[in-house]
This record gives sequence, structure tokens and C-alpha cells, in this order.
Amino acid sequence: MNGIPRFSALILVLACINTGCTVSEVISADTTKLEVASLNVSESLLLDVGIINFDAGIPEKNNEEKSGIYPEVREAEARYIPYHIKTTLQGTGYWGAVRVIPNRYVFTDVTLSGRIVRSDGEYVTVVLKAEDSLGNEWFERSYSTQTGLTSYAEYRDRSNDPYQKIFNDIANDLRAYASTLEPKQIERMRQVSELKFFADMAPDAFGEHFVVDDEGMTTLQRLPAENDPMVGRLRQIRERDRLVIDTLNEHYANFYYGIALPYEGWRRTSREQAVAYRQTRRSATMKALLGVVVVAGSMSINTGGSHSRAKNAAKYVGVNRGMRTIFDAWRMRSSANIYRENIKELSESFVAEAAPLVIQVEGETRRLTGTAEAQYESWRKLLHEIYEVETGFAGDVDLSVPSRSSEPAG
Amino acid sequence: MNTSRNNHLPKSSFRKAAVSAAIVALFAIASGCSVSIPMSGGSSGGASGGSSGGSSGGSSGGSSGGSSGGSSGGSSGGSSGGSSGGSSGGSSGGQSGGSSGGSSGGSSGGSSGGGSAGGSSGGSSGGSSGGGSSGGSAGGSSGGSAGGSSGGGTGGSMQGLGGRSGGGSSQTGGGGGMDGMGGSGMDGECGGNSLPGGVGGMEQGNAGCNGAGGIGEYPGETDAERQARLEGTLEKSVGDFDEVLAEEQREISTVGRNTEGFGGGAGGSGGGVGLGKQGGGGGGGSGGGSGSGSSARSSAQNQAGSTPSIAGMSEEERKARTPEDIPDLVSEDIVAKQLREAALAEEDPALRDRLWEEYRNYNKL
Repeated sequence: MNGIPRFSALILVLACINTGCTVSEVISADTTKLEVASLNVSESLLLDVGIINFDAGIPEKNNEEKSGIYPEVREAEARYIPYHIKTTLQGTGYWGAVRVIPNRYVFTDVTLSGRIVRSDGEYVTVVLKAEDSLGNEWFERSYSTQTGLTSYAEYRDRSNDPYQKIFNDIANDLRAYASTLEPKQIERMRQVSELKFFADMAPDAFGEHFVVDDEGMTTLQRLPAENDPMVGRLRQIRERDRLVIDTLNEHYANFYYGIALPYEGWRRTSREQAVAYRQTRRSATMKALLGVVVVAGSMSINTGGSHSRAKNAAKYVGVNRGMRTIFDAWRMRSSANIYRENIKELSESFVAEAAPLVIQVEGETRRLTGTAEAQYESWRKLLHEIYEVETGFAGDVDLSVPSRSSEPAG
Repeated sequence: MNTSRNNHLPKSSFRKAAVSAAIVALFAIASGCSVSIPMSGGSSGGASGGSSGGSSGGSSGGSSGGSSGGSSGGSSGGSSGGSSGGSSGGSSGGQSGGSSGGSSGGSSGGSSGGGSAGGSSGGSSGGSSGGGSSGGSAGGSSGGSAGGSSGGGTGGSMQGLGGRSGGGSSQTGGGGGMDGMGGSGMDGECGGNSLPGGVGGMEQGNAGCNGAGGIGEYPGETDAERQARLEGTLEKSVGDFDEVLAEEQREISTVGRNTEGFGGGAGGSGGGVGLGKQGGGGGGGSGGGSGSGSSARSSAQNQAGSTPSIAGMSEEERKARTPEDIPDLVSEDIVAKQLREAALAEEDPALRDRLWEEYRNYNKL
């Protein structure tokens, strides 16, 4: 009698194997609604945002096949993601000028920097840090999401990126922090970012209007007179600086639109292959477990007593079937590697398409920033001379070393 | 008595004297001895610029001469045409106080820019000081723009970009000259301060060489005049830079962008794309939906194999037709996909519900 329930359970397990039990994966991709300004925000409360090209997050000793991190793909993503953050922020209406900047020496009210931790088309994790011109760190957070089927739907608006959830989260978090600021704080940030630019271009005139401590916090000492002619000149020059950045952003835009479709194709297919790989391995694991259970159950059947012939037959069938199931599971697990090979080939194909675009945008960035720096240098000297004539002070500032001479990040 | 030796001695002496004179003359030419001609400061300035350029091998001589418009003409002439160029620059500068020298130099530099990088670089390096020589040789026409813009800076960084604005080279030669006036003065190069019609410039060039007078100052120039001059230089330089950026943007605009499928006026300047509404599960923002919907329609129509009714559907419609309990699956097979699309496309609410029920049963939701 005790053998009957066990025998029945064995039959049930065998039936389950025969029907090809699979574990279907069901998940709801998280969504975040983007907060959009319903009314026009006063211009005096609008902060300009600069987004530095992200750190690609490539490990030092990276094995591409094991980690699935392809440096060229990451480098492309490190430029794509900041630009999409820009477009998302612009669409909220809560911010002033939002630009992707080559390095943090472009003085803006708010600076965003980040690093890609994971991005494989299905999962994405980025770490983003936000800080203002006064040196205050707004926050540093990790944003993650898992994409769903409809994230890559052909019919969707392509401005809705498959990773859109993290972009909306970033925009909402920035908005949430900015909403806690007093108008005076916002005004102070704008004043300081302007003064930092002034001091960079005319240090003898404005170098002492603020103090930066060891922790990077900026304290305003005094404001320049609005009727100071040097202020007028420097504001003119700052407009040109903004124009340079806008021009640079046009190059970034060309890159963004040029890479959007191949990048989405890579993400979509990469995701499909990753899901297939995971599901195949999971099925193989389940199958192997079932096979082990069947074998163990079959071995434990007591063939003595009544119906011994049937029991022996069941035992034989059970063990045989169980072993075959285990072998099938092992083959299935091995076959899953083909999906990883597909991901590798796909990434190589995407790299071939993306690499020229990355090289081009890097070249344009260096050329334009180099041109601008050379121009700024001549303006610094002119401004220095004008300052000497206006004030009669012979400044001893070393103008041969520009303060923004660091290599652009991108 | 050997009369032949006595006869040869005078001849050899004469030869030696002739050879010595020739050597001295060559040295004189090579060292760029200047002869001050009190016609105009520009000419002498040009000559001095040219000669000083010559003395420095012509490459940086352009830069030193190019500190001003007139001298940039001379220097560009010098760099492009060697001594003849320098002399022509000098002479034309002499006629019109250096301004025509500047323009002729600039024009010669500009006109020869296409033919020889040296010519254009002469103009450009004329506009810039020391560093401009390398920049000029690398990007001559760019140096023209850099002449005004980077007179004090590295001309090399202007290569390529400035090349597009070669037309501005002659214009910015003057600016460069003005920049160089400050810059070259600060760089301490001689003859770098000769200005069109600048008698004072010539003197300043010499004075600068001799260390007398302030850097960039003109004897007899008041502070107000100097300030006005510097501000004019700055304004011109800013204007020239605007031209450079405008040219850059014109070139960027020629690059086509594939904005197919991007809603919200994508492709415009400043990246005017949509509001970044989230795809799939309806996490989108409230604004810009119409734009994104229409673009979604247009993009979907271009895609082969898509169901026309679903392709023409906006995100809001799709969300409205999807029950709340239907999740965004990680994966689905072809049957589930067809069930979902059929449910979305179904106009009859009752049939749509039944299709969603089938979808749930199939996916064991």
C-alpha cells in the first residue's frame, strides 16, 4: 500500500516530464510617470543643467565574453544616455538650458555626472550624481530597471527609450530636490556659476569675489556691480561659450540620432538572447532536478511483494526515463551557450556600426573645444589689458596657463 | 724677377675684396638689416616686420610681423613670397601706412591660401604671435580666423575649423594683428607692434625690442584711446568667432539625421525631442502626446509586417484597451503576441475582453 502513492507520484512526475514542463517568466516592467510642468516656470527660477558624458564603467580586467561588457558598446552608451537625459529634462519644462558638456569646467548651475553599472538591453543600472555650482551635492543614487516586451515595440515613439523609467526617475528626483530650494538659493547658484566663469576669464577682476574651500564649497564674497563694463563684456563672452556648447550639442545630437536605431536593435536582440539563455538554463535545471527525483524515486521502489513484475517494470522505466531526462537537461544547458555566442556576434556587429560614430564625435569634440580654448586664451589676455587700463592695476596673474586646459572627457 | 707674381697679387686682392664684400652683403641680407625710410611707419614697419621675419627664418617672422594688420600683410608676404613678398608687403604698407600692406598681405595670404598653405599660413601666422607659426603652417586658412581669435593663443588648435572660415582670414588678419599686438608684445617679440599707419607702431616695435615703454602701449596714446582700441579688438574678435561658430553650425546642419520614429519635433536644434514618455506600461508624461502619437503612426507605417490597426494606435489608446492586470511580460511566444495584438485591435469590447481572457489563460496569468 505504501508503494502505491509513491508509484502514483512517479507516474505523475513522468507525465510532467513528457508534457515538457516549463517555467514561464512573468514580470511587470516598472513604470514611472514623468513630472511635467503644467505652468510656465519663472525664468529666474530656472537652473541650467550640464550633463557630463558618463563613465562607461568598464572593469579594469574585463573579459568580454564572461562579463558581456563590450568596451565600444559601453563607450557609445556613455554618450547616448546623457543626451537622452538631456532630452527628458528639456521636456519637463522645469529647467533652463540643458546641455551635454565635455567636462566639468563648463560652468553651469547644476552638473550631472554618472557611471554605467549594467546595461545589456534587459537590465540597466546607472549611478548618477547631481551637484550645484556652490559645491552642494544634491544626491548620488543608483537607478535600475528591467525592460519588458513592449519597451521595444516597433510602433512606439522612439523618444520613449526602452530604459525610459530610469530617465523619468532621474528627472523626477532632480525636480524633487530643486523644488525644496528657496528662490534666493537658486539665484545664488546662478550668480556663482556666472562669477566662476568671470573669474576664469578675468581672474584679476573677479578672482576674489568668491572663495572655494578645501571641500569644494563655494562662498560668495561680493557681487560685481551691474554697471561694471567688464561684466557686460564677460556676459557677451559667456554667450559665446554657451554657443560653443550648443554647437557641441549639435554634434552630440548627430551622434544620438545616428546611433539610436542600431543601439536599440542591439538592446532588443541582446535582451531576447539573454532571456532565451536564462530560460533555457532554467528549464535545463528543472529538467535535471526532475530527472534526479525520478531516478531516486524509481530506485526506492520496493519490488518485493505483490505485483512485483509491474513494480520491476516501473522501476526500470523510471530509472531509464530519469537518466534520459538528466542527459537531456545537460544537453539543453550546453545548447544555451549558443545564445551567448549570438550576443557576442551581435555586439561585434554593433561595434562596427557605432565605433566610427564615436570616433567622429570625439574628434569633433576635441576640435571644437580646442578651438574655443585658444580663442578664450586670447580673450583672457585682452581682458587683462583692458582691466589694467581701466583700473591702473598691473595684475600679476599668469595668463599663460589657462585654467580650463584639461582634456575633455568626451 | 718674377713679374707674373707681382701682376697676380693685385688681382687676388681684388678677388678677395670682392668675395668679402659679397659675403658681407649676404650676411646683411640674411640678418635683415633694415633701412628706415621716413615715408610711412607702415612701410618701415612692414619692412622691419619682413626683415625681422626674415631673420627668424620667415616662419615666425610672419607671426612677428603679423601683430598688426599692416605687418601681417608684410609677414604673410614674407612667409609666402620670401623676401619679395616681404618687400611687396612692406612697400604697399609704405604707401598706405601699412593698412594696404595689411590688406594686400592678407589678400595675398588669403588668395594663396588655397594654393599654398604657406601663403595662407603667412596671413594667419601674421595674425598670431609665435605659436601662430606652427598653427599657420598647419591650418593656414584657419590661422586667418585664428589670427583674430588666437593671436595670443595657439594657432594650431584652430586647424580644420578655421579652415572653413578662410574667408575671414584677411579680416581677422587685422584682428590677429591687434591680438598679436597685445600678445606679441607680451611675448616680447620685436616688430610685433607695428600698426597700419603706425609710426608709433614702428617706433614701438623698436622700442619693444629695446625694452622701452610698456607692453602693448603706444607712446602718445592715452589710456582712453588704448582702452577704446582694446575694446575694438575684443569686439572684432568676438564677431570673428561668431562667424566661425556660424560656419560650424552650417556644416553641422548639412549632416542628415534619421529622426524617423522620434516624436515631438525631433531633429530640431537643441534636441527638441519628445517628453521622454515611457514606452510600454503607460508611464508617459502628459504633454507632447499628440506629437508622439502622430510620429508613432508615421513610423509604424514604414515598418513591414506590423498590424495596421495597432500601428495606427497611440500610446493612450493602447493603454486604454489593455486591462490593468495584464503585465508587461519578459517574453512571450508568437501565439501570445498574436492574442495580445488581436485584443488590442478588436473594436468590440466584449470580444476584446474574451481575447484578453484567452491571453490570460494562455500565459497562465
